[in-house]
Amino acid sequence: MSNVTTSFKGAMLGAGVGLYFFAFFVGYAYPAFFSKHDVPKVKDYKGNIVAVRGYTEQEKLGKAIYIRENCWICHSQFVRPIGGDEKRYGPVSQAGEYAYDFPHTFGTRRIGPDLAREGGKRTDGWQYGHLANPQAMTQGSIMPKFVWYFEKKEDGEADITRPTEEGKALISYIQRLGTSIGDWRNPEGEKAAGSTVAASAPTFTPQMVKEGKVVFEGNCAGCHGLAGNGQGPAAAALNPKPRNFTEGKFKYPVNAKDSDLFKTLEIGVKGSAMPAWKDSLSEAQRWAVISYVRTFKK
Amino acid sequence: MAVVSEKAISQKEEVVDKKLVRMSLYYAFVWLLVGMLGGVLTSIKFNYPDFLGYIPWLAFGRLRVFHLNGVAFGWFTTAAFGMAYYMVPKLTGIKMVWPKVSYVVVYSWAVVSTIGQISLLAGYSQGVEVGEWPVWVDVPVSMIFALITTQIFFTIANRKEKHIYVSLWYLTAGFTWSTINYVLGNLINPYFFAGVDNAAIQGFYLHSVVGLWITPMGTAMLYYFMPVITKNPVYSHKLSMIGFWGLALFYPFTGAHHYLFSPIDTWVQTIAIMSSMMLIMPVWSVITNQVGTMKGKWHMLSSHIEVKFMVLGAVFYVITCFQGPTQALRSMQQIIHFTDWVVGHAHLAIYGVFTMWTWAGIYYIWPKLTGRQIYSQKLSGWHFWLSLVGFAIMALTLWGAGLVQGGMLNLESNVAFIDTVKAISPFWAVRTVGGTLMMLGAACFVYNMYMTAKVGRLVDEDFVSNRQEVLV
Repeated sequence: MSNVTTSFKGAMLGAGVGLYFFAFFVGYAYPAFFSKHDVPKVKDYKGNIVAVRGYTEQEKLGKAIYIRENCWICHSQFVRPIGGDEKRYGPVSQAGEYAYDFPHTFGTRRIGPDLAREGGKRTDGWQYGHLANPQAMTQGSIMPKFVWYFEKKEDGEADITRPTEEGKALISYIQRLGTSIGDWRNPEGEKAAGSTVAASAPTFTPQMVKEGKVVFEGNCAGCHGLAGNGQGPAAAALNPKPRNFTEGKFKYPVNAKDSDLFKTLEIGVKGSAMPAWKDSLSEAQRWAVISYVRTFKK
Repeated sequence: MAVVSEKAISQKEEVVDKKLVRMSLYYAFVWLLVGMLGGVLTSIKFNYPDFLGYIPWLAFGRLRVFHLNGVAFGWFTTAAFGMAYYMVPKLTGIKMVWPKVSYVVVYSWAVVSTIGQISLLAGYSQGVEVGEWPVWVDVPVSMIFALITTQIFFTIANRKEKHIYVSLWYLTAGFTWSTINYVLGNLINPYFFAGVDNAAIQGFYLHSVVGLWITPMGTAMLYYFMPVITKNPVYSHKLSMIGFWGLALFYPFTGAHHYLFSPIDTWVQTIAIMSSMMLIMPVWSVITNQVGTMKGKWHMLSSHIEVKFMVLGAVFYVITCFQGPTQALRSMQQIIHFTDWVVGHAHLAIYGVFTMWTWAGIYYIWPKLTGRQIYSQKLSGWHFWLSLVGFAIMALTLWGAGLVQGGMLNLESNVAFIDTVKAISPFWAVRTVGGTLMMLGAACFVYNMYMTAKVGRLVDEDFVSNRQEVLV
């Protein structure tokens, strides 16, 4: 069997396998060793080169749970410099941010939103409430209820105020995502993000109130409750507590104008679970929901 | 050109271990059904997230990887092992060397892949896409791959048939690539390369599972069964070789196209896009060969179920490999990446092309393996039409959903993410219908094969003379 043809064929097959290694070394191993992607340094939002810190033990456990539940099937972890990505999620991802990831969790599908810049977007309390019952926070969400990361209440329901160690670890990992570039949501020395022009409220119509009800029940009721009394399903986990609209009192200014509420919707409330809505609700929707919120006052 | 006449060989001795191939295929049937069931259950959860309650073992993420590994490794890989144990002896003219090793491979693969699947539900995912089985499953899997690859090499070294037919090229290369690739993707990359490099190499691994495992196995089957079923010689051996070398040269470079616009080096991404475009070449060489070989035999489409599946798979292959290169372009990626469009594309390749070709091969060899004729032509017909209609529904809705969501997210402003979910939710419901039909089709197939082995009419003289395997 060992004749010229056979050894030629053997050599050819060797060449076929060689092509695999050729591609591996040119396209993958070479950049891995020479492109310095694994140097844990990034440009922060101010443009300075800063070091990326490694994961804490708790964050490591959180990442392990993220992988166990295959969260990356639905949530990607890189912001692209194209499309609506930057506007929706934040600054474009940098190589150094991933330097401690074994394995990576880039993901290839967004059944849910990207999480590359999720850290700091919401409070821990909001995240716990959402993890246990995503539909309460976002009507129409298809995320599973991860109730097994919470202690049970006497009636068998998940107690969102008592996450397990694993649940806490998962949220600590989520809160760390994308924060290596600094607190880009609250830039130092600049005025809080948001429009500088004071918006003037349109006249509220019954039609607007109707539309506002839909927006409210879809986006706000998880915390503020369907009745607007601040007793939504997630309220228990939140500190400070969600606003009770039936009292008709607002923290700042006490007698808030509609345009103040509009601004709150736009930029959120710092230090609370109230997020900024400017990228997910249109202006008309924001005015509509304000018109509806005004109807709660008894 | 060399001729392998099955009759000539089989009169002297039977080279195929029929029991072994049957066992392997039966096990593949189990995972075909269970894997597809996993897909349908996952799909229902898109519309009813509370479906199946709050049991960690049946959570969305776990079922989703259970489905993928169930069909890619449980079904297709097991079937490919069986097919290799059928084709390699036929093409070399001798029995597999070390016959006991074949049983070690098939039994241990059955055990290991089952453990792998259960470990996914139990929450031991490794986090490597298309390689989610945990590391303690990856080690035996790599060993099994190495074992069967070595066995194939030694069988070929001792072959009686001097000419190495193109199917053998694809088989040996596919097994060799996959052994290396599996070790690289599952045992080396996740632990030694960090972050961005890890992602790039993982894209390389992921696409090599499709391109250097599933594609060569499927193409080997096509090149084997196409001439023996139609009794036409392969249209062009030279073209088949161009296809093989085109695949070997371009496929490994394409991996990074899964992470375009990520922090992976732009030039790596560009090479990936370019080689994705070049894949048109190997694919269309296969298709040209397929159409050329069918010359004068198109009438078999109406009478032979295996020809139906073969041609349908080829049609889907044309679409896959027009879609693949175009969707790798940056302008296209911007919209459709991260959406259901890509999911549709993946199903088109794995289900629409390679599963169809595997079915064609099984319909052809099952009477030889069992000594009985196919139990019911009617069930075969149901299998074909349920698969075609079900898949058409599924693919079109996924592509539609991908364009809708991708358009809303990337071309419009001020759209809340949840609104895109609500917009494509009806598509998902229709997709579940399509997927269910596909699963019913597969159930018809498995039932048909089971009944064939049990009560099918015995193979008679006419049937045998009609079904000689002659590779010209």
